[in-house]
Amino acid sequence: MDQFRRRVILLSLIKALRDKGSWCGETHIQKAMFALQKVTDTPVDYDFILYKHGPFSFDLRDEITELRADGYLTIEINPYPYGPNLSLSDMGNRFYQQCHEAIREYDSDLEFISGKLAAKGVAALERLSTALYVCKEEGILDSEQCAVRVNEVKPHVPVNLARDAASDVEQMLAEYSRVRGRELTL
Amino acid sequence: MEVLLGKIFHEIRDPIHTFIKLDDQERAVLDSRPFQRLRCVHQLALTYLVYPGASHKRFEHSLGVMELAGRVFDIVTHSNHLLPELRDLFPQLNKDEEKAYWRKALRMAALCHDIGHLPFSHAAEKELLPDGWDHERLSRVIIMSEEMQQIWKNMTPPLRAEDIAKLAVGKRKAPDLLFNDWETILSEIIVGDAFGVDRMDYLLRDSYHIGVAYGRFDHYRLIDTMRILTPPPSGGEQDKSLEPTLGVEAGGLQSAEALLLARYFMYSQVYFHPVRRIYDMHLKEYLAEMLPGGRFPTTIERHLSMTDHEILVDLRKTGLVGGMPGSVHAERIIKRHHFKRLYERNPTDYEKNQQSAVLIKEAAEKKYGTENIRFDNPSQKGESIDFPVLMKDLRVESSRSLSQVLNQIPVVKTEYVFIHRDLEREASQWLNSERSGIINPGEGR
Repeated sequence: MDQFRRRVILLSLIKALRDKGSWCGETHIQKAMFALQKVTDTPVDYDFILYKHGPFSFDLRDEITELRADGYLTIEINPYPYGPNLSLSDMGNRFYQQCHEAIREYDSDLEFISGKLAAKGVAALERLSTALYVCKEEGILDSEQCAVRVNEVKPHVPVNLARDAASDVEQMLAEYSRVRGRELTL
Repeated sequence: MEVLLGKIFHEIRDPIHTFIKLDDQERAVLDSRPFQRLRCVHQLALTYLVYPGASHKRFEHSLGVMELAGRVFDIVTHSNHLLPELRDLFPQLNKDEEKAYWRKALRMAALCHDIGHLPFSHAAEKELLPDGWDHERLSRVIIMSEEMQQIWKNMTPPLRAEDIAKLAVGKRKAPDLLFNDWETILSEIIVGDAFGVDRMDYLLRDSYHIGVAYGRFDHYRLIDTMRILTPPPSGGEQDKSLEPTLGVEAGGLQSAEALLLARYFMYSQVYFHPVRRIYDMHLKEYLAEMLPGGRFPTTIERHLSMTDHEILVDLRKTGLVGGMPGSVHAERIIKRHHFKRLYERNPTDYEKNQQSAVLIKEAAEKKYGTENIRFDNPSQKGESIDFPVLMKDLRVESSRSLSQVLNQIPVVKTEYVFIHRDLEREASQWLNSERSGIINPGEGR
């Protein structure tokens, strides 16, 4: 996918997450983008590795930095116990309005992922996206094995919570298949 | 040279850190062929053609990074500085021998983090290495080479080359290796986004050699206050991860602000200086014609045999004599006939049309030919938007919620259109008369 469409998708994801009530800090965006790539196969092609709080893309961080430099994204500051979050600036909103048509085919995928993840906090996203990484990148499909592996790579995540995350991943993938299948049938 | 507890220590004078100390075993790395090569690789490529003092090399920078990495290690692993909830995550710190192992591995990783740098450092790295290669990958290959393995094995305790490679390049450049929390923290000490010691040393050292004051900050205070912390909450008290990361005590926040301000000034005033940027472009074009196949080699022997020195000799001859491959570009550097800045991104034009610079470049190419125009759009990369700050009551807060300064520091990005110097005057007049129509194509003049 070219950089222009990739940028529009990133801005659209941030907008969709915020519209659905996500806190939308950097971690929320990183994990949601990973899910968009891995659950819906949206071809944004950011390179993700297991790093900060689960799957993390340095390319995506660079893209966010550049969108800030270009004036499309701004950082909002909040008092404790809230961290900074990202939102579209006026210029970013104008760009989104002008260019959204170019990525309309991904609207339903953006809707699905933001609907699933917007309400989740950092710790829950860390667990869920790590379980998704283990499942998709390492091919560990069994929930129990997945939970053990999540605990192995993120020792601060207890196995019982990792188990819940693995089960959530399973449900999310199944639901996406159902929704997608229905759309294709229609 | 000093003998302490049976170990021989060496002291090296350094303008930034006064003395850099290393023992005999570490000295063996310093004396190795791959490391000595860094004496001949300019830290800032051809920047010395703009700022004459900027002739420092990767060699002394690497020594500085080693020195700072050791200092940070001692601070963040001190038992009084570790949060109780994180102690269990780092069993490495409970045994003195293991702690000593990792301290030495970190210092050696810091010393070797740039060992794979190409001639002229970053100037031509992206375009002139084969796909999939960068200087970090070359560093990794050299650290793992037989020549270096012999040195690691002879250390007490022997060091594992893979540990050194991991810490030297970090997770981004070694995605195939699994990093545990401990290794992640150690690699962050060197290459971390917020206050890695690589960044600390190059800001201090570059500003010192260039002769500008704004790269300086109180790194003593900053290092003294660095801590391993959990991240601050994001969307409320309960919304936080427990994954450890590097942060600072509240008393170090102003020093961290100063570092990030220094970075902003150095990028906007030095690293993205238009003449420095166009010299890099001319150098890349020269190298593309001069190197066999237009690419830098990636085998160790050929890599180690090539430094700035060999290339500068050829560049000078090619530029002065002419008629050889690359001579047009070499002449632009040697005779200082570099292209001149025709246009630079500015807030007024950008607000009207975010494509202004690209449109002007395209119009200029159409008018004067692509061979007479160059376009450059450097941007700061990898800016973490936040880091944790430990308050006196042991709460961990977001740096952004505490610092108005951090919230005001812009990300540096610019765009330049350069033109052949013989056409500069005419093109400037042309641009003055056509500019409005180019930027606002629908409005006419």
